[in-house]
Amino acid sequence: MVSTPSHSKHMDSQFLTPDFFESFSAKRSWEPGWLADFRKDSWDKFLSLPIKKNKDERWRFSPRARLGFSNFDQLAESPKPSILNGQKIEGILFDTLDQTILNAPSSLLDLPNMQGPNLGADDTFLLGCCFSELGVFLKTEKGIIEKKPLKHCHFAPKNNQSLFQTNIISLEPFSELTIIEIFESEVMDTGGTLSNLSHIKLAEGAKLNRILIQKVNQLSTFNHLESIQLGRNSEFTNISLQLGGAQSRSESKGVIAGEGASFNNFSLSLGNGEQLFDQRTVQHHISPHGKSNLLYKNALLDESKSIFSGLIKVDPIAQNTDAYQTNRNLLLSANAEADSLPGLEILANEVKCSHGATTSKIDNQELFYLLSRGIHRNVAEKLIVLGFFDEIIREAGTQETIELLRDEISHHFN
Amino acid sequence: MNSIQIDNLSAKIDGNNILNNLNFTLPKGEVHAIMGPNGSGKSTLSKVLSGHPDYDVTNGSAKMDDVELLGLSPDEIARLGLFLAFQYPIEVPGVSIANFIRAALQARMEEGQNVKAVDYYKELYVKMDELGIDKSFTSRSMNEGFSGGEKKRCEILQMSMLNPKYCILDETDSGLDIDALRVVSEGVNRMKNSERGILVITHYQRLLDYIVPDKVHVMWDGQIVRSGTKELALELEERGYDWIKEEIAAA
Ligand SMILES: Nc1ncnc2c1ncn2[C@@H]1O[C@H](COP(=O)(O)OP(=O)(O)OP(=O)(O)O)[C@@H](O)[C@H]1O
Ligand SMILES: [Mg+2]
Repeated sequence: MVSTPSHSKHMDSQFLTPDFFESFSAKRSWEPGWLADFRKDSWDKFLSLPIKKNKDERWRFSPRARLGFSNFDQLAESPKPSILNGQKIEGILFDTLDQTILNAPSSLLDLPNMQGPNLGADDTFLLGCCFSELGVFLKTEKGIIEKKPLKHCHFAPKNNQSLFQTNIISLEPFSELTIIEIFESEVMDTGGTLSNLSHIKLAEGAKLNRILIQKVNQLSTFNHLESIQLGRNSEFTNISLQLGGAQSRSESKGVIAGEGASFNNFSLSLGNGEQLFDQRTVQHHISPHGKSNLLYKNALLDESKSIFSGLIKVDPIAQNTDAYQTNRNLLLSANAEADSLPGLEILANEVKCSHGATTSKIDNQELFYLLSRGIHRNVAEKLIVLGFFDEIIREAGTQETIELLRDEISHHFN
Repeated sequence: MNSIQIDNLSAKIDGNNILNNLNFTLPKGEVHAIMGPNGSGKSTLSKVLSGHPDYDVTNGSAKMDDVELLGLSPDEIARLGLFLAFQYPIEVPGVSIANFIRAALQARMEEGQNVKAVDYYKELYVKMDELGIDKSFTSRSMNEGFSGGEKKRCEILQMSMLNPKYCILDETDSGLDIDALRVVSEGVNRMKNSERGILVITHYQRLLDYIVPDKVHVMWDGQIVRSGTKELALELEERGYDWIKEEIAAA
């Protein structure tokens, strides 16, 4: 055991002490030994993390203190469990993480090898590996095609507590699935921090559509660290809608690992008050003939702020890659702020790649036009934002999911 | 009084005086036309009445049915019943015509009431049909990529859906082909009634053959300098504006 009484980086957080980790481990003594080892191993790695540097490119522009764990002193004791929605489907294993640890632990054997996106929030990732209790495990058998979306819902804790969870989604060859992931808050009057590690793996020819809606309350912090592995000719389309959180950090790393894989990564954030959206992404091409298309759109009201930092990385072997990365920001107030750091690192020569970022203010003539029709200002802004988001919303597949997104966005203006 | 009543209205933009002590009355039930050289302030007048924030009103008043418009926000003015058909309609990307007009109607409903979708689309389609606008336009983004004439038709579509008390049509005829001019004019004429005042701003007497005005006014340098019957428009068509300028200079 490490002897320092309290880890100097996280003085304030009670749960970041060796004693706490011991008691946490004791509570979970029913788990298989390999999992206990993995938690312990992650804990040790956490303790040996270097002290945060002030000049860390991976945190550029980020008011990092706002995202720290010191704001949340306790681990949630009895957090509201994730809710899974959807009947039992032949060929699909879909359960909470705890149930999977109990009932099918062998399907989790790979967990210790699963990497995080590694885009800066190493501490969050390692703590997630130590302390994850909730989350889902979803795995399709080969060739299973399910049209009806599977839905799961997760909750940020209350009373300033912290919660870690892990979602594992794995599609076997040629299976197809749509999932809807919701993140909200247990209660509205107090907040907490929810840190979600997510591992998504698509085998050959698999297709996954994912809609993610994040609407934790504005007293909460949301961390989302996601790694995606795309196998040969697989396709993943993601639409994330980020509405909630006083502050959030999302790291997304998509590895185009198999030849001909295709990754569409779309994100919409809508901020008001003093919300902060800190977004870090990588599209890493390590196989030829892959496609990736990233579009992050942020609409910012009041004093909200977004940071987008993206990288397209194309390895020498990944010839004939098509990779695009775009960040567009719409400022609806003079005090809103968007920072953008697009990046390319292309080591193959036969590629089509582009990246771009634009930030524009709301067009006053456009606003006047809507107002001149009698539309109230907040509705006019809502329409302009829905219009700004429209190219992504339209990708949401069915009319039902399109309406779901539009409704969620509309609620944010009420 | 049931009218738009403008008294001694002065307004400027970026420090330039554009409207200079302008006086004008549009009673309800009547159609008036304003003509005048480029830059004389016609669009400025329509924007000031609509509450455009870029203009500074330095003097005067503008009342609609005895309610002072100056100082109200554009959406309040619109809900009170003023409609401006823009000289240059604005593109609203990603917002369909159907959703746009529906939001405008919704804004006029009482709390807790909603636009009834079936009735709404029925009315919308009838009016689109009357104005020769294809149904496929309902889902297109407002004005985005529309031709000049399509934009103008769409302004009149909005106007007829929103049922305003007073309408200002700023050069609605420009950009319209000969057939469209007739179709749009018929659309405006359908809206003429004893409860509504209509102001058309135009450069061309031709429009006034279709939409026959009760009065014609000439605007020059931010003022109404002449008012007359529809024959005044014919005279302007024939003689241009120079004679008016000379008369003003002489006075
Ligand atoms: N932002 C501005 N700064 C300075 N001058 C302006 C500004 N906007 C408009 N103006 C001027 O105000 C004057 C009146 O413009 P307005 O558009 O009202 O004219 P108009 O009578 O509608 O002309 P037209 O017949 O060409 O449509 C013009 O000289 C114009 O250049
Ligand atoms: Mg004009």
